[in-house]
Amino acid sequence: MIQFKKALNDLWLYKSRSMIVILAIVLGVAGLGTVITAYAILQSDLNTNYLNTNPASATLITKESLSLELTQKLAQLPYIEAAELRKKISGRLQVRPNKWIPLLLFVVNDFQEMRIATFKLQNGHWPGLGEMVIERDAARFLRQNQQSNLSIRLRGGKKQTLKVVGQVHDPGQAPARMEHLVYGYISSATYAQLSQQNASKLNVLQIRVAQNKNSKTHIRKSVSKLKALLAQYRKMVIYTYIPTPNQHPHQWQVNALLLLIGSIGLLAFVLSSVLVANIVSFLISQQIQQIGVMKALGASRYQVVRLYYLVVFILAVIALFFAIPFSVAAGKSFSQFTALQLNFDIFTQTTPYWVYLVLVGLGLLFPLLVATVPILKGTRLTVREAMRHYGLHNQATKFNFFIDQWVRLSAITRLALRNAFRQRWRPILTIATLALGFALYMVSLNVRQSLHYLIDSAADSKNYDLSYRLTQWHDRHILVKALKGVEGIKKVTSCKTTQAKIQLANRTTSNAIGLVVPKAHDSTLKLPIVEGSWLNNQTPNQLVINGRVQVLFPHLQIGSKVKLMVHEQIVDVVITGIVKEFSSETLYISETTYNRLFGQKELVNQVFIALKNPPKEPSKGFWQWMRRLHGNASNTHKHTPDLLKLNQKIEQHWQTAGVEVAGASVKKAELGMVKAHLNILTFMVLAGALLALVVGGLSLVLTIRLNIVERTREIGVMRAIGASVKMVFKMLWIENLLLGSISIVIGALLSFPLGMIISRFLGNLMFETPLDYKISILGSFSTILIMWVFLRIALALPRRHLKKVSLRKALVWE
Amino acid sequence: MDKQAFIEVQNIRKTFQTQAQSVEVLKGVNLQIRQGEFVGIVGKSGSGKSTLLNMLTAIDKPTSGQVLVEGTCINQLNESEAAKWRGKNVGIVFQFFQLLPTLSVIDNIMLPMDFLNVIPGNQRKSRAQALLERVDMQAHAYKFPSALSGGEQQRVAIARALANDPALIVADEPTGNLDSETSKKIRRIFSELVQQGKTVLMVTHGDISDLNLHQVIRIADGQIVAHTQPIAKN
Repeated sequence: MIQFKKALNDLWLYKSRSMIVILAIVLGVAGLGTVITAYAILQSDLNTNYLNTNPASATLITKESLSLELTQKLAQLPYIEAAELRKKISGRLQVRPNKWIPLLLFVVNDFQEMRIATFKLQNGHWPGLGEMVIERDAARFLRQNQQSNLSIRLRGGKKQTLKVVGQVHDPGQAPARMEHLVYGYISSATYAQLSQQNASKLNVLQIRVAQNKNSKTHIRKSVSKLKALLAQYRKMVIYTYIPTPNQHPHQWQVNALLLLIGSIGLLAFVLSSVLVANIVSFLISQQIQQIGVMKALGASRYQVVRLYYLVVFILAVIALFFAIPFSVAAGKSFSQFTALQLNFDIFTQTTPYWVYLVLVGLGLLFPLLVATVPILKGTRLTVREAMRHYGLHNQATKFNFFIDQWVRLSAITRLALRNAFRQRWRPILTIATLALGFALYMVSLNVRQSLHYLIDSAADSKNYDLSYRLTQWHDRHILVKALKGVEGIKKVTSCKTTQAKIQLANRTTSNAIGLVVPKAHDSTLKLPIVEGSWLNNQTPNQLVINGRVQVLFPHLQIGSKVKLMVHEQIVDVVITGIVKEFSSETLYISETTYNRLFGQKELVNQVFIALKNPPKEPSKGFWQWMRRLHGNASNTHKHTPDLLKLNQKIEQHWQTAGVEVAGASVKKAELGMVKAHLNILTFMVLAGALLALVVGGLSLVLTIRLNIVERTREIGVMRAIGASVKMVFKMLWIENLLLGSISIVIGALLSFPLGMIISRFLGNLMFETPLDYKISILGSFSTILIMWVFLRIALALPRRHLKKVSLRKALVWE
Repeated sequence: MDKQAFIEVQNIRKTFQTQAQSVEVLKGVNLQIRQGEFVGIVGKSGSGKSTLLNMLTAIDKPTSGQVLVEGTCINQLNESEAAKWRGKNVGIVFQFFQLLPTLSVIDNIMLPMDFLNVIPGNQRKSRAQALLERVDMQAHAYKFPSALSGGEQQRVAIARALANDPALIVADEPTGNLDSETSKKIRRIFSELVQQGKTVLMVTHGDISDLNLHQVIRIADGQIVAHTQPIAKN
């Protein structure tokens, strides 16, 4: 009881120190706790959202339309649990008088009877004839109100109007803002009206297999059987898509985010633990004589150890009172934020009990664990040693000998240098904590720089500003001619784009992959080569793939022979190059190869336009950035008036020439949007790094304070023999500047391998290629500035202490 | 061993190793103390008297020789056993009082009882109050040490030394930090303790003429140079 009282009184007497320990534990536990809470919520809720939609095991697109009767027959097959008929049509949606954005319309036969890939009505009502509902994320993106009319244009169709009558939540789709398109849902009657047919022709068959729903192999086998059966009904499957079973398309993104910030949270936790160890070490060293007295009075070592464990335990319990609610609240907020970004709902209302258990375990055990070394060390002393303990002492070291003998320095500077390393472990722990904090901070900014470099270099590898996807193939000369007279255009180039499938070893084919046929002898596409070489128009049958294709088919290497199915025809090609590209899976073959096989020499369906005055990237201002982080991305399709006018003119010229545009994009705007999305990631990394930096800074503040309090008498002696306060502070400034500078150097050195590992991890995870590690100048300079600020703060506090303690008191200070 | 001996020190030596050299602080000390004696250990600073006291309280162990207290060879006890033995059998009074600053006066006295668990929990407070009364400090029970004068702190320290009712009281220059008037009061308390049957060992380098000592042991350079038995003046 008395021991408990002593523990409490000690904590109260040294309030500021106790508060630092509490703060360190709160920061460490809160950082990690936020990630653990978010992990618990996101892992369960993201998948729950997705699984609630009853996602399709596979999607098959047939050349001919399918009837409802046939679909019902297929649904009765023993290996099929459910089959449903849909249609997916692409078009464009008008958001401003001169601005169209891509639209993906889903035709649903019966909204009331959806069984596969379902979605929920959020507001309004299911659409009737001439009506549509839009996905809620697209509504945020469009800032679209209910009950308004929107102009749309389907591929090959004319401008028509649909009335928006509600919003749905479709967690099965990638978020509209990320994809930069709008998802709309219409009835089959509306589709028939739009396509000016008597009845809608639906050809997208979605199925769910009856058994082994998590086995892609099983699904593939079932799909093969289904294809064979459809062939008997003279229905030819032209496209098959089998997603990773029962996994949200953005699960990897959440995992990456959690892993990354989890690692940083863990490091911050380790740092805070080191800080706790440092403070406990100080606490013990200050109470060595008391330990001696207690032992002299009959306390066993176990009792003394227990007493100091009790002190740490009380601090940890107090810290947990703050850390747990904060962790849970921050974890929930982070989950909400991620859910908003990825367009899913958070169902978890109550944080799982195991999260609390883990937090309590971590928050209590780790401080006790890290306090073990200083407690055992401090209580190991015999009564005699403890009673004769007079705090800091100086030992003859090689370092002291060196600065005494070899370095010509003033006495104050020499003293400062000696003081910096007077104790062995405290400066090492301080430098380690601070260096790691600096390293993480630099890494976060460098990784951001590397991500932006990747995007910028991707932009540089595509020498155009505007890109138009056409609904039909046109002669490239006609297209160039059509744009004659449009002011501001520097160059017009074009290429062929289509889809291809890779024939797999078991004679099945892959999902359709984009195939690009760049114009011969044209440098519009100049993609960075990872391995091999770019297309050579003299050598036939070359294939260049991007990194994502290689991830999908790891067996594909330079020299691999590949059978491609293009326009229902098998083409034998050899892989000659692998390129780094910031896009989906894409294959490249030369125009020579394509023309030799398929003719259509001058026909193209994609046009690239380089402008005389290229548009600038959207503003990078902080608030702009924050708005984008919070989902208000409306400016991502807001272009400058000049660009809008130019686009209007180009579209007018296309219309006059009878050229229909399927989709248009501004390269800089798209890349700006990608950067905004990546900023979510770097924002999280930076937040974690700042946490680590704060813990590092606290460590420095604490070390300086402890050093000065311990040396109060010594400083008093200095003042008594004539040292001015200014001189004393010069000494303190030099010794701590030395610690800070060493931390920065070690932090910078540490940031290289750490940054490279993180860049490699992030690059491989997101782009299937390691990032080129780049140094952020801002990061380097701001680190020095931060250290300067830390030192100013750290020295300001003890300055007050020294001013408060009179020389008389200082000389008898214990 | 003399049947009457409460403490018997047999040829103890103590050598300390420093970075530069080894220093022999005690050079073969022998002595016997009977129960209920008031013994003064006198010597100059650095003579080895505090080291000897450390040997007698199991705070330190001799390099050679042995210390027997009531037949127990205390230099063979391990650290934990020594702490337990000390808490039960020895009350120590330090020159600089060494009260724990974050505990009140009464809590300081109850702390050794807490460590040893010899006094039942429900009797500790009343015992602590009784001890404070014995040293005339009952009015200061709930004050913190920083609010007391040096003499008052030393009286509290004596009360604390009696917490577990030890047979042996060891005081290391208990009046070295006090004025002469206060010193007299403290010395009087020690004399009273002897009268009550406690064995008291007091290290001092000051005047011992006013003490009713049974033995005076003079130490110089780690050796007993004079061992007188003035016979108590009572």
